[in-house]
Amino acid sequence: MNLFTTTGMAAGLVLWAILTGCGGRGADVDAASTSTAPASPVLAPILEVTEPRAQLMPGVGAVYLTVTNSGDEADHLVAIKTAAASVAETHETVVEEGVMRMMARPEGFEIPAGGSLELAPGGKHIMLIEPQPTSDEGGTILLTLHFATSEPIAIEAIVTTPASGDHAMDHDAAHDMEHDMEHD
Amino acid sequence: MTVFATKTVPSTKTVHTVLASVLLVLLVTGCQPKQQWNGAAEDPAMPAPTLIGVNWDGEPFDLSEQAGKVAIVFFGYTMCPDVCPFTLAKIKHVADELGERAEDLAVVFVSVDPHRDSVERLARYVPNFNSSFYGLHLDTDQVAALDADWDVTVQYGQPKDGPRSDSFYYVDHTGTYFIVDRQGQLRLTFPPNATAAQMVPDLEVLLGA
Repeated sequence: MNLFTTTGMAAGLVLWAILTGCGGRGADVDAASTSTAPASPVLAPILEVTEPRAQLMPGVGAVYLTVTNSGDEADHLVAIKTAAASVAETHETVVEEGVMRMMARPEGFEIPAGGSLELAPGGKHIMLIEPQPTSDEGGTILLTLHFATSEPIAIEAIVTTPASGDHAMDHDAAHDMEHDMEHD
Repeated sequence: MTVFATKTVPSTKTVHTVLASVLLVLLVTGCQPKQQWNGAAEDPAMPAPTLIGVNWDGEPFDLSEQAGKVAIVFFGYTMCPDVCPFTLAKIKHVADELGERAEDLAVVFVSVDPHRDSVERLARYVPNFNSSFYGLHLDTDQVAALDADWDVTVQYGQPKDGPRSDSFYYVDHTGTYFIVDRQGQLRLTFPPNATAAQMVPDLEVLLGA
């Protein structure tokens, strides 16, 4: 195999990679929905982020969103980068015998193949410490989600304040309560 | 046969009298349907435990002085990123649903984080939801007494950057809502995930009593 052939094969591989989209989707600032289906036969997660929103209070906050994986391989949300807070980490609220416990989840959250990861009030969430005081209600903050397999996805989360509430909480809480009561 | 023929048959009037008496007895002895609550009823109802602190406006607060009102008491802290804000937002929704009847409702948010939740910080937080809500600062000893008095668990997490740092820490705490009636009796509790729609009907009953 001469050098010319080797170079040609490498170029062919690069072209194939580009055409089949196995380089991932890259960051997309307008990422309320971000997905590109790879035509590659290799198993891969295909992620889409929806409803990103940030609940901010003085000194602390939380980001909620849904990541849907229409691919055939699971992925993990492993890290969050943002300039809008001094810390952004994966955390979870767990209720044990009426006690609300906050658990750090440094291992991140799985996004199952063909399923979704929901970050919602009272459960899994991205915790922010010292969010920017300029992040007013109705504005947005930028975050980049990092995954074990997929390329990072940049999102723009709409800022809400506690008093404006979160309709997802009402729905989830109602569902949980009905479930609990069925067993009373 | 003669015996049967001579047995006294009760007259219609007598039967009616007996039935009326039975009904009267049932009514007097409280045989009406038992109140169905969405929350968990405290049975028997007991006087609400002691709760004394300083409100966000700097005024002293004593729960026993709220007699005549229905009180919702719950515990949290302002540096709580996930659940506490929604708890307060939910109770704001409850008060909104009750409308004018909420004038007889005392909403009492009790901070379990005396180190960070100064009266001043509570003043910047609680009125954002509703300026009629109480937001109590308790001192460390008063928070410690919540376990015995209210059966409320409070556990402080390690500061994020190490035990000696002044960095962020969580406060794990009981998320129960306690409902105290106009007579100062602890009547109902709701779990942390109870909805406004489940709480409002029970509060309407207690406010109507």
